[in-house]
Amino acid sequence: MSRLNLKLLRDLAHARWQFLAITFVTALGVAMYHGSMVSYETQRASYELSYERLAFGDAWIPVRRAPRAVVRQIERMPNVVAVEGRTSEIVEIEQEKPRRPRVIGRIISLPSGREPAVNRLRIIEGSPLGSRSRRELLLEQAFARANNYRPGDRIYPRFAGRRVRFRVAGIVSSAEFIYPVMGNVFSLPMPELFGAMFADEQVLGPLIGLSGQITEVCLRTRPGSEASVAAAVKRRLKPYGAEEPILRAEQASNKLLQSDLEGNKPFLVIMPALFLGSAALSVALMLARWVQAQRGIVGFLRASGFPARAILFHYLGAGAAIGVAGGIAGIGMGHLIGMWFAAAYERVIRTPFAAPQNRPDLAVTAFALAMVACLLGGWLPARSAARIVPAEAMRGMAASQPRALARIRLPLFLAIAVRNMLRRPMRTLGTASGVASAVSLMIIAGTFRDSMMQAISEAMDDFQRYDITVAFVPERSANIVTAMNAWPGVRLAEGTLDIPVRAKHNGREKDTVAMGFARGTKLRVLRDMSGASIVPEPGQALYSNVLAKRILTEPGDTVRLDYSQNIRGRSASAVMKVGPRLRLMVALPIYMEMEDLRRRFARKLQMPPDAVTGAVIAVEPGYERIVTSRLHRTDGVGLALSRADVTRQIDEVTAFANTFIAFMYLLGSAMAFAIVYTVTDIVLWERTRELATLRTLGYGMGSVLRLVTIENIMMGLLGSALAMYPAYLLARFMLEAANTEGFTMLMVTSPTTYALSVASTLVAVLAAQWPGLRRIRRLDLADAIRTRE
Amino acid sequence: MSDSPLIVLDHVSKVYGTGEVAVHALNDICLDVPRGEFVVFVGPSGSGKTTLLNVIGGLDQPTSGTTIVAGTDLGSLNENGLTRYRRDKVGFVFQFFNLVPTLTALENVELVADLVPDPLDARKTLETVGLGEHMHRFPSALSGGEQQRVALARALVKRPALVLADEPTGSLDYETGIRVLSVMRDVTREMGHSVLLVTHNSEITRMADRVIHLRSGRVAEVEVNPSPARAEELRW
Ligand SMILES: Nc1ncnc2c1ncn2[C@@H]1O[C@H](COP(=O)(O)OP(=O)(O)O)[C@@H](O)[C@H]1O
Ligand SMILES: [Mg+2]
Repeated sequence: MSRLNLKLLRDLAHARWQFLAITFVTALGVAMYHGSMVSYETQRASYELSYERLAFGDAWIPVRRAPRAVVRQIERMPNVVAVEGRTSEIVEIEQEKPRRPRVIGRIISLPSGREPAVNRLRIIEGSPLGSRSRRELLLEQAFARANNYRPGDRIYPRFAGRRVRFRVAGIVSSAEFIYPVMGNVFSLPMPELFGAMFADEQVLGPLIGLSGQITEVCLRTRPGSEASVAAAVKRRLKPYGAEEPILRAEQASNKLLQSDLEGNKPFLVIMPALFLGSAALSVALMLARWVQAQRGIVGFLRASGFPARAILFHYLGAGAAIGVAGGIAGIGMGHLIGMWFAAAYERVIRTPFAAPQNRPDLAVTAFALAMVACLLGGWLPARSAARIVPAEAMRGMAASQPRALARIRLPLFLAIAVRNMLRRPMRTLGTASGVASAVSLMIIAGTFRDSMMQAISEAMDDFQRYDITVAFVPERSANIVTAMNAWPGVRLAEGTLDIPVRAKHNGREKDTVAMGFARGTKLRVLRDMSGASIVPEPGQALYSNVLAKRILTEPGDTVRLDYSQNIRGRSASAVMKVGPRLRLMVALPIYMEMEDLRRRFARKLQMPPDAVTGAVIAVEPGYERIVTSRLHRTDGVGLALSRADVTRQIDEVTAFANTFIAFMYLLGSAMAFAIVYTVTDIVLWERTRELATLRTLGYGMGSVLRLVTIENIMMGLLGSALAMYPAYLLARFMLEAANTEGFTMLMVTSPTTYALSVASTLVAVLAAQWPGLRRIRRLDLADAIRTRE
Repeated sequence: MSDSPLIVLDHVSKVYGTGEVAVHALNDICLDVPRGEFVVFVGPSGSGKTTLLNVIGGLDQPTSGTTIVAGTDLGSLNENGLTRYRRDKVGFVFQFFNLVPTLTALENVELVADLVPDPLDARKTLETVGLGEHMHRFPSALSGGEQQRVALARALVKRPALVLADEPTGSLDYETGIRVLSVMRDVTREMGHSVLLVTHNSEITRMADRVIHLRSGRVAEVEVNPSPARAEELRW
């Protein structure tokens, strides 16, 4: 090894704690990137693989009812790769104890005696459907898991008010229900309450009165022709009451998976960027100090005939060493993080087939990022070292002039601290930026937590003032709600009306649900963005920012709503005026005045004039279970969901987010400490001589401690101040990116978050100055003031 | 070739700054220095000694005039050429030792030896300057005089045509200074090096073969010393 490289290694060993701290920050950045990249790619690849193996559909075309024979005709149409016809019905499901008595199922037909050509299933337990004479079902695994079903168990769907006993033949996974949601509108996964299940068409047909008929056509097409083929098929099926096709991009599960993936992307970029940026900054600060201290040596090396290039590479080498160490460690840690992410994610989402992506190119990219960050960080100091002229070996450095600003009168110790910070403004700024990025990270993590808590508590305690949500299958007259108001323990029951619609504006469209909201409603509250309570006027549609962005409407525009379900073969639509934006946690619904909704939709769809599709109920304390179980015994009640159920579901969904936030907070603090340690230690190295001089003048360690502490705390405060605005911007950007239709947050940063972030940074500052101070105390004073460093 | 002077300075001037504040650090210097001599530049602080040494060492370019060292016209060299010139021809010793603190004495010498194809043996060179026993120590464990002798070994190990020393005793006490000078004198004479030494201490001139007096950037006087004193005889 060349002596110059030996010097590099020894210098690094000498500064090992700084080296380790910066390597650690680099490794964290690489780990976050690599870990999230691996899980991102793994998810993507697993979806792709599952879609491929299970022949996931490219388009779905619902029809009122069509003879099964049309499938033959569609098969022959150009660009059609595969077709399957089936029925797909929402039904009430009764269950045996101790399972919840009633839930909702979507029962989908499977062809007799063969696998479907589109949307196949993977059997993960039990067996496929057996003989047609037996009433057997296959259960989608998320539902089966949540309700503890094993092959051989019994389950009781209700058809036309009659309960029919089925045997569970097997547990399956399906590409259509990877994200186990009922449809586009109910996008919170509630596998305990809703499940997909599959039965033989010859068994199912008679039960739902559709023997030999289908209500849905699923297509696989040649790539690129999905939309045109779907449109052609729709035209062909027109006589059978064909509806708007649902393309794969709009399919509920797929869309949620994709939006999840997209939502994660900003994290993929911003978090690693924050860490690697900090690592680069730390490398720059450390090397700047080295170069500063080694000017004479560099001058000598140049005088002796080392070319400027050799000096440049020498200092870049220090950056490269950190990059290599941080890169390798980071890839290892990233692998663990990726596995951990995947495990956490799998609690909610299980793909039929998994395609783990341990691709070398991902590791190489992550490693390259570490190198780039560290070399970039090393670039400026290395270049300034390469520019040192050989004559520097001879001359002492020019003492820097105190700036005019520094001549302000302050108490002595404060004055020294302020002057020190002003003496090298760029260095001070660099140091403060390091501190700032640590503070930012903690503020961002805290903001996520605050915003999530706020959204949930707002939704649960303010928007929803009821204890039980009820869904009727199908809709009812409001009499049923009036009756409930007389039940013991019921404080107040109010009817709700939800109608699935497709919202359209300027060529953009979005499947959602129109919800009736009556003036005088007591159990629900709507709020506009300013937090003021608001009630929809007749003719007006109120919805959130998220939906407004999807269909690009501004308040005052008009929006067209089309009834989007095929069940009754009727159509209804309305053009509404867009009202002020709403503040919602579940962001998709559109609110309309109740009577308005009944007039424009319910009546045209031949629902009862006072139709309700559900109810919300407030109960007397202690009555929640009693009322819920009575609801379960009431005909027409498809689902009764208590506050506890909802809370549990939300907890399940937010558990992942919570772990993620906690993890980010932990890393943020670790990074804060590492950076603060690095910069504090650098400052102390630079000041060693000056501080030793103070001691020779008779100042005790107490005074030195006070001086250093004042200065470092001021640096911590400066860094915190610098962090505020960028942290706000970053948090806002990331929050917006993370907001999905299923869960939307308004940005809230609590004072506690600010205080905690700044306080923990200051604690890190105080802890970080300890090693440097100890070094100064042990310093041989004579030596310190003699050495020209 | 061997009769031609080692160094030829022809109307060399160096001006720092311009106009009113211009400083004529070197003012039209013409000078020949023969090979193999121990030459001392002496003069008061600010007289241009360091500037002159820097010009000869290829650390600095004169404003005007020609500098030829060992047959090379320094004015014709670009940055790379100067670097190569310093690497191949010149060994420096500075007032501040500038040893790499994280390398041992031996490694500090080897650091420079690595630069040239045919260096002296680093250990032997350290032994020559009297540091055979301490060669594995780090600079922090060496006294100032010892550090300066490591710096000297570092200058010599390349077998330079020319050793340039700028106030090499400036940071040392008397005894140590003498010891360093004496080693420098003996070793360079033995190896046949030419040495250019800068000092403001006129006592040191007694050990020179040739003394060049500088005043305000001009050569005031050149003395040839027929019988140079040994370093041990000096007093200051
Ligand atoms: N880089 C520089 N910029 C401006 N003036 C300089 C510079 N270097 C030297 N000088 C001036 O040139 C003159 C000669 O300096 P120097 O060669 O260092 O003198 P000596 O080594 O004899 O003390 C002095 O007046 C000094 O102030
Ligand atoms: Mg000088």
